Amino acid sequence: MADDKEISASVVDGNDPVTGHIISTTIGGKNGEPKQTISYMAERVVGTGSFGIVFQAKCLETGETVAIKKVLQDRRYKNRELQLMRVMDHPNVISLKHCFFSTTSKNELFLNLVMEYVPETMYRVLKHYSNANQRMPLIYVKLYMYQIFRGLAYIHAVPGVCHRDLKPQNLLVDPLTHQVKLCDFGSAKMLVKGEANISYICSRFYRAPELIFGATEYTTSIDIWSAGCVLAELLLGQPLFPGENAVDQLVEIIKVLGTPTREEIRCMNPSYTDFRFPQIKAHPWHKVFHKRMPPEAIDLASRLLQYSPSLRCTALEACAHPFFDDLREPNARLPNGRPFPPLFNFKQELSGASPEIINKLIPEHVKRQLGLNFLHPAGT
Amino acid sequence: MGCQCTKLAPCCWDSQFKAAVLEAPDVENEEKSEVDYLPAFREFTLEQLRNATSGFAVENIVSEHGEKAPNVVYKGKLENQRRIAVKRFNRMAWPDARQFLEEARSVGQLRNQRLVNLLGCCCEDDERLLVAEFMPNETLAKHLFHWETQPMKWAMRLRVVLHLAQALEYCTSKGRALYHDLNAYRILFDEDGNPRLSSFGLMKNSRDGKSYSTNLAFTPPEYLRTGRVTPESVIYSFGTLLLDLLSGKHIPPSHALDLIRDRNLQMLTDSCLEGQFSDDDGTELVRLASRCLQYEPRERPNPKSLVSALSALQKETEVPSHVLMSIQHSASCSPLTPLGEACSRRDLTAIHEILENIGYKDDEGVTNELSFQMWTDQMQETLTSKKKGDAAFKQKDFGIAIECYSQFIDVGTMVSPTVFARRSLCYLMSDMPQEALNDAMQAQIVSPVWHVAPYLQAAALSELGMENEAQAALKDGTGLEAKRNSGSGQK
Repeated sequence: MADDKEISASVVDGNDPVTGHIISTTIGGKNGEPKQTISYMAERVVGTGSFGIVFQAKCLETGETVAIKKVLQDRRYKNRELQLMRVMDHPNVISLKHCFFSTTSKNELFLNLVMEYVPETMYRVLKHYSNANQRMPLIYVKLYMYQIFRGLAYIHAVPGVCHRDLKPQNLLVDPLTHQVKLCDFGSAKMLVKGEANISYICSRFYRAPELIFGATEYTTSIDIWSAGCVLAELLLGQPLFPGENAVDQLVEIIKVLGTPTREEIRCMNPSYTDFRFPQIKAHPWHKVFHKRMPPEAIDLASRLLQYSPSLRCTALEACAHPFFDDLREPNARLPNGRPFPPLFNFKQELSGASPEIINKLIPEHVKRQLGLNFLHPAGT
Repeated sequence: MGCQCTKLAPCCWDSQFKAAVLEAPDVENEEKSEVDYLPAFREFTLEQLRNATSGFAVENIVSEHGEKAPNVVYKGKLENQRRIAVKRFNRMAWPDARQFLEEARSVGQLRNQRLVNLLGCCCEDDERLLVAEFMPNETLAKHLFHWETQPMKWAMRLRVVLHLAQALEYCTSKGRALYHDLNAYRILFDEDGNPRLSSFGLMKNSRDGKSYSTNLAFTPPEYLRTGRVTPESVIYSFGTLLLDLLSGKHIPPSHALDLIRDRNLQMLTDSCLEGQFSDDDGTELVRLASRCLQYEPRERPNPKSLVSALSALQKETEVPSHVLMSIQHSASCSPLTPLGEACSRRDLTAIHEILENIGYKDDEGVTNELSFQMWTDQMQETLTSKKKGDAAFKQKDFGIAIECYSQFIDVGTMVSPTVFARRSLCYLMSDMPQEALNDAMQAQIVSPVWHVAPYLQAAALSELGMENEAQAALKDGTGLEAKRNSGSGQK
């Protein structure tokens, strides 16, 4: 799929994107395709960071609203985010429409990633509920978390990418369809077994404990930890582990999960087994979460928030968890009666999954629609 | 040192009998009623327990979470030198005194080598307290999850679960099958390094309906559905303990079952156990765990069948637990300091010299509200009698010293652990060991962390012929003195 999108990066001369500024670029022109001009009108800045800025823009030819992420490009290297974005194609992952380079008067080269525009972030949705002194209705928690895991299952299994900065700010939500998309692959990387990676990634509240322990041979299970933190936050309305600094982050985790056992410390980072930690018993979870919390939510949270990275469930296993069973009911709908966003159109992410899990992931009513009876594993 | 249990007893009658035999060398000094190894359940006064724990001193807290926990456990020592653990419930836990007493009495009828037996209770005003045997060698959680020098060996892990199954079998046979919140903190190790099940978990906390303190992902499924525990729920928790022992980590049982189903034992097993057990043994334990963790309560095994299944798996049964655990047995002791040495040899002259040297500097920090009394005649009189006592003490005129110190103590406007210690030594010098012991105990009540008090107790106890107690007191003194020295070293 990624290949037929073939994005050629053309260079555009221009100045800094200021509101109202128009940037024109051309696409196509390869393999006999006709060249085509596309112009974007920058409308407003929607995000800034160490990476650069993201602004909302409108394509003048199509009227489509897009988000353009503009980052400084080191001429010596390929941009990793661009490389990753080019190969990804999934309903729960932000998609790249186009990209082009631009230069400034100071002769700096910028890479512009043109992506689909999704108006809300999970961060803002959470804020909306906490401002109203409410908790997010459980159906939305299920719907959002399921899509996060579906997105993770895809990026982990298909291109083999670890996001490495999963947090509510990097989860986009469409307020009408309630579709969720992972975004900001600026920290993402394809992890290779046996190769070291930097441990100073991921935002504090969502950092897996092995990263705090300085582990360099971590796996995609660090995203699963972050997703567990997001799940808890959606359920609680506030971050589960609000550490004030790196060390305090570990203290916050220990306050809830108890001191990691020797064996768990070994699993996180074998060189830390000589460390002594204050011995704290796990905080009773019925005091962490409110009383009426369904057992499935607690079970899922405790399978995600495991100290031992290898014991955390995979994203696909999380999708199959009973917590999400409601979404698989034949008549399940959004509270306003409209249908859910697509939830069962799996593709390559299922290759390698067991027949049981596939059977669980695709509900009967969907199988009937698709005529997928061959997916029934023998004996069940 | 006495002989050790050579073979694990298949049933508890047998083990109880053996225990009595094993304890024989120590029994001589115990009261007659303790031939049965332990005294019968009794009620204590608040005063007795207050004295035993030095007024519920923070230094004596042995439970997790320290002061902040809703229910705190203190270590303590009764007047008859018995070591105890005292659980102090929060005010609201047992509003109905009669219900508390009934429950405690019922649990107090149980007596078993596999239990940390309940010795008594106290129910005065708003206070609700339980008294049990003191276990000096920490919890299973500590040895399994947070070990310091060596991980727990496979043979010991198997022994722990067998002993636990035996404890549950005994409780079930006595009609107390409900155990609340069975977890790795509920199992403690006695001075021989043998695991025992705390009897506190047999007491239902009437108000706070929460029967489980940990992550709800670890609780029996029927508890989540109904909020009630049944004897089968206890077996489920036993299953989670089997997982703890196998894995050394906290794996939610639902997840562990998935791993077991996928035959992924590698992922489950504690890396410290590598090469210590055969695949067959591992498979058998896992099979047992999955039976205990059955979703349907009635499909779980009963304690009796657990005992027989686990008995067959035992290893290194001839090696005593304290050897498997590398626990310092009471017979061996760390090197003594000069004061410890003097007290152990009952070298009263040496003790006298050391006490003279210490003077009153250890009284600093003992609370004395002097503001009002300071200027009264009575105060002056008190200080004079102390001064006279000190002079006599220095001159080794112990009779006069006792007289003067007694005046000081009886007036009671000031409390001085040093005066108690000095009078204690005077009594020792005058061949009055019981009085010496009383004063040394008083000194400890006033100042729980003062090493001199247990040292003097050791000297008095040994004079009274209570050698085991003397040894234990000596160990306490050594411990406190070491703590004091390391504490001052940091400053």
